[in-house]
Amino acid sequence: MALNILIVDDSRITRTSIQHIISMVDLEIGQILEAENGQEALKVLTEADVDLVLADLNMPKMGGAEMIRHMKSSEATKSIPVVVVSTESRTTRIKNLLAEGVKEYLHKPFTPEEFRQIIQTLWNKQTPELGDLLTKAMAEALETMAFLTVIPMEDDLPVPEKTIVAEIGFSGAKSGKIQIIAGLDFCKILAENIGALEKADKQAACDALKEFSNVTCGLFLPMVVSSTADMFDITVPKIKSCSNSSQWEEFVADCSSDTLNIEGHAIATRLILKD
Amino acid sequence: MKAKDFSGIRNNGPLPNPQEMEMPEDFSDLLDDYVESTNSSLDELEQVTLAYEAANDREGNAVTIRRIIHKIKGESAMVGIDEMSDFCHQAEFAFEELTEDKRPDMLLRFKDWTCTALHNLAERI
Repeated sequence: MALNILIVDDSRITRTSIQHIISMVDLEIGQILEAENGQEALKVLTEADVDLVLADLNMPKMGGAEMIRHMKSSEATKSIPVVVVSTESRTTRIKNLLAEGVKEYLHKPFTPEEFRQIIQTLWNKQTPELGDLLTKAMAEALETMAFLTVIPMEDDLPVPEKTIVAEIGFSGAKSGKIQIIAGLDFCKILAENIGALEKADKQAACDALKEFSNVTCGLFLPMVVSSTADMFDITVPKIKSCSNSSQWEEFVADCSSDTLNIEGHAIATRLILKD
Repeated sequence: MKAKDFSGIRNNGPLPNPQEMEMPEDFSDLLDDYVESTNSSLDELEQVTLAYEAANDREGNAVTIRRIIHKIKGESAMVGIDEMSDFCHQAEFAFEELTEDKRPDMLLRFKDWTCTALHNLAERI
């Protein structure tokens, strides 16, 4: 989808600089529209299809904050994401704007990479409904097969609170490797799934994981791997075919905070790409 | 390199030499436009400052003054003249900290320093 972007800034130099930065990002850009202040921007928004607004705050006639309030009060414009681009250093003001519906904030000057990350964040946030996602996931699942491998463990090493316990290697439409960082609860679930244990205590979990360490266990995980440049999203839908499928959902309960949390079923924390 | 100290604008203290302002590393095509735009902003700043000093619509003129300094700060940052952006940042602080009667002198000092720096910059483009 080509993005139509509206740049709102009273400085022509800044508008030109932002255009230049946008042109350096590997994105499909449609129209770049410009406005010198909030009033002009609102007029442009009634005349053109705009996907994203990049707005300064301090402008004559109508500043960015007032423009955003107008946008949020109109059915036609309230869903258009606004990114504030400013040298504003008052964090309270930025927080207030974010609370009022501003999606992101870019500090001037910003780099093409920062802009790209904002775009990626915004469009990831606008992920389709769960049903749509699962439909898409199942459609693409056939193209991506994943195998789970338990990392070798030292004999005398008990299952620690947080460690890398397994990897999921996947291949198909995308290929790569995810490392799973988890604690004891996750290990118990893993052991129950792999070892067909009814209920694993800590020792049983340790024993099972050691037994299966460094073995490709062949658990089939339909997943969708979507990528933009160096960032990946991993989507793991519910696995109906797994005998203990409900337990997979529990994985999320024991994930570390930097987990790629997709659809609440996330189990990956770090992705290592294959060449 | 140690960042230059522009805090003198807040207490009538010493300022760095305006003729030694760092050029942007990435020599921007926009520098000519930047100099022209900033000079225009400084002319406007001078007029508004004089009106402010004469106590004409102080509230409205204060808004305009803040906007002008903020605009110069933003444009300086976008073309990579970080020192000017820092200077504007300190001037913004100064404007909020100083009493109404002391603001005009600070603003005119800001304007003179910036004019000299720009003149020097224009000669090096």
